[in-house]
Amino acid sequence: MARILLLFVVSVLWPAPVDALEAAWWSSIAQLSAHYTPNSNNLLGAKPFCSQLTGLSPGQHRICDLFIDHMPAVGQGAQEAISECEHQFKQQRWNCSTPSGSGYVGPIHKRGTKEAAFTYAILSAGVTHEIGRRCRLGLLGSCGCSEADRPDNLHKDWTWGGCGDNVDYGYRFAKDFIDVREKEKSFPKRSNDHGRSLMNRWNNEVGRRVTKKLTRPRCKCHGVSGSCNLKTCWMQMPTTRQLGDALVSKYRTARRIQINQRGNMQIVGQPDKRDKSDFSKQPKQNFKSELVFLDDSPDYCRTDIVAGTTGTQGRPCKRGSSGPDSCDMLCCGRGYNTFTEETHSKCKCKFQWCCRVVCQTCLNRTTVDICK
Amino acid sequence: MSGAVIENLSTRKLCFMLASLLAAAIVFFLVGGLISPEPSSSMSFLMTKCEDRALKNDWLYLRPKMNCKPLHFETYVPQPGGNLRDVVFVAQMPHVRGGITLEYSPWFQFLLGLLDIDIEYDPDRHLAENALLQLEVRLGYRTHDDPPTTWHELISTTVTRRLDCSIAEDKKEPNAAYNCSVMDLFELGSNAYPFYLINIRLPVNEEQCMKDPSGPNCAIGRLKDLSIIEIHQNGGFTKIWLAMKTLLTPFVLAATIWYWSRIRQLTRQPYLLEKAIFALGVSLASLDFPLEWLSLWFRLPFMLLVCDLRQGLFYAMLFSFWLIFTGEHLIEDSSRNSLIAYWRHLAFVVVASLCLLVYDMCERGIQLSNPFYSIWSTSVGTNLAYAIIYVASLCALLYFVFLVYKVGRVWSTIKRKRAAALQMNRNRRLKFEMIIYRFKFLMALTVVCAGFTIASYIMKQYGESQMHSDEFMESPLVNSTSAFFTGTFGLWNIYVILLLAMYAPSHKQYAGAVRVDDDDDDLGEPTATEQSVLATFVKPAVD
Repeated sequence: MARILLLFVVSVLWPAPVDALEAAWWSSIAQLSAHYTPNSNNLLGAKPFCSQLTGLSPGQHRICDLFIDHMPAVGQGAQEAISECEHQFKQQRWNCSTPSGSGYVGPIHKRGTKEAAFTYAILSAGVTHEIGRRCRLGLLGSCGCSEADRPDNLHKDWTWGGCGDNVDYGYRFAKDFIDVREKEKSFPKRSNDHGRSLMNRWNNEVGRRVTKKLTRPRCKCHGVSGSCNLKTCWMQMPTTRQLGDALVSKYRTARRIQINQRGNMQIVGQPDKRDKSDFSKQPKQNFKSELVFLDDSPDYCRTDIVAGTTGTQGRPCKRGSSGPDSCDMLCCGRGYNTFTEETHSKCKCKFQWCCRVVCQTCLNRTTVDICK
Repeated sequence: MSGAVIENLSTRKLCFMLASLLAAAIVFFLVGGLISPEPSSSMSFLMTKCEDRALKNDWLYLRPKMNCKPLHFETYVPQPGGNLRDVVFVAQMPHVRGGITLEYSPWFQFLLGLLDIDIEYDPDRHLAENALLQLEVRLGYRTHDDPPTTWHELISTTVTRRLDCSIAEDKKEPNAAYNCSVMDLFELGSNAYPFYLINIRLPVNEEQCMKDPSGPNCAIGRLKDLSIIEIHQNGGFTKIWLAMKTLLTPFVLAATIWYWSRIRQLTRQPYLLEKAIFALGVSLASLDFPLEWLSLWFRLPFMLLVCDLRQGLFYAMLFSFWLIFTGEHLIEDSSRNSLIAYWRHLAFVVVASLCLLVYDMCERGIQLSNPFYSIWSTSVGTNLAYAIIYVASLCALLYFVFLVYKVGRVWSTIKRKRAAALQMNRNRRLKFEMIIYRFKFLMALTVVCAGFTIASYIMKQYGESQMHSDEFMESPLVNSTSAFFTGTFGLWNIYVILLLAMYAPSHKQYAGAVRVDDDDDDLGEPTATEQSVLATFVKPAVD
């Protein structure tokens, strides 16, 4: 019940028009209980579960019904992606446009900016990652091994030559589930919406590819007397932090694209190679893993629901810093208020056992600068 | 030494034989490359964390219906008086895939478990360097006849492992992950049960931790997850491997028996070299013998150890044989034809094999009674294991240096003697040329086999690196691991069979024997044949 209420609050908070709805489905999915397991009956029996998720496209709705046990994984993946995004951009003017810690995807999707590109990529990477992780937990029955459509021979296949990789499954599922909504609608070839759809799909793919690329083999030698003539490797998935780091560096080198007459993407700024860089026809290796964007970013200084920015008002800044988190930069020249804040924080902590740390409480007096 | 078969074989026959054996070797490589799957695969299990305060040790399992309450460390608040021991890490092997409950099969031969630990950086929780991790593990199994919730205990034990984790200084912020190396958890030498279940607890003795902050589980940082990586031999590879062994055994046995009967027919005592070749044949026959068939029907956890021992025996015999063979061809050396004369040289082989034997007995031997035992888990054991391995490697290195030195000496002797041989009478010269020819033939054969082995090893390594490169390139070398195993196995079988056939005493030397073999059809005109053989093989090799 609380969840539905939350969703309601979200939609009131961001009563943005059609475009913001694009993001709403992420928010609603990210609110799924992360700790749901398919064995708990409360959700399995409730058929309208998928209907509770606002903003799913018809195709996504269908996949949700079929793979209901995957949905908490999608939610958890989205949530982790959002908190990683917040971590990566905590010092920037654009801080994922989310109220900190809420787990909502902000309304950044109106324009096809670099930031939108990053958000799509990290969300899709997060889902790929989490599905792959849950496969290893043994709670998703349909993971890995062969394609699911011929399970008769599965046992034989497995005995003969082993199983496939969990990340591949995560990749496939994320591709099906996230990209399906972009494929369902058909826009006129030269419309803006068509361009956005191409851009989203491209950036989703970059996020998934990064996850796959950062998946590294780890090996164990187990030949005679432990010698290395027999070696078995398994794929180890990256941490969310590694994914975030990789995507941020891609964000910095993101490429601007435009949609040409034929409705294909092409990179802006290479006029002499215009025909060659038409990369939907001639896929180039180095473009395939680059983020792409269509529009310039706003300065993210002011709250502007229509443009989809939350602004920097009320953000804490750092005096004397020379980085993007400095008060001059972050507050966009509007100045800042200085408060003295008394905080109680843990200190002199003593490790007791796994899940408890016994600390003393210390009183800290700090000055905080908040943007006007 | 009397004349061997090889000296009396016509060039045509020899070439034909070598060509067909080369074809056989290529077939062995192709079988591995085209038919066989990878030798082994792995499956990764992220352990589910459950809370279990019950003191009676009930099994906690995940399927068919999870009988425990999963918990999450982020939100877990232990009850008063609770302990880290209340948290149970559960993995049920193998996974369900495509809606089918997979099962392990005896074809998998062995089951190896590794433990991967995820620790997050937390300024409040100290992760000591080389911290001790203590695990209360229970390994259970279930057969087809058991109801799905009944588990039998295979072993229950407490083991310690040493953590080896690191993190870069600049990455030290909350939630950053440590980079920990994988630990050995268990090793089962046979795979007799279809389903396994592992429950792990991490007990903490708080009082002891107060006294000794570096005690077991006292300084393991903020534990996030435990994973088990299970490695087994692929059933398909076992099938191909066993088929090869079954096919080769009769040939090797026949060759060895034939060789020994030839030796027995001699009027004199067999020479040391002849005994060495025979021993090599016997060790290969024992390596080939498809004993593994038994493990498909019986539970034989010692099969992995036996397999190691047989391989070790063969390598030791092969290395000793090379030494003896070179030694016996040092024509000037007078102290030959007895094992005692070689004790100093063979000491390298013996010490190296003994070291590896001790290591294997300490690791896989003790694992027969406790699959979770590892010599690497204690610092004494680690030092011992390192010492053993260093000594063995040093011996192997010295052995090869010594072997190369000896081969070099034989070459220089041959060169010198060849000049002197021109003055010898015809018979003596011929006998002398025979010895040189025999030596060179084996040299060439050994170099070819070793060359192929090394080349395929490099291809295997290259293929394995291809498999995990960023772009998933389809390269024919990707599947070369199995080809390496089947190919080299076939190659060294052919090597030994050829040795047994070619270096058996020829009928030519003893009168009155019944000629049963077609090897010496050409005996009618021995000199002509010998000269032609010599002309073909010795000359180009010398020039």
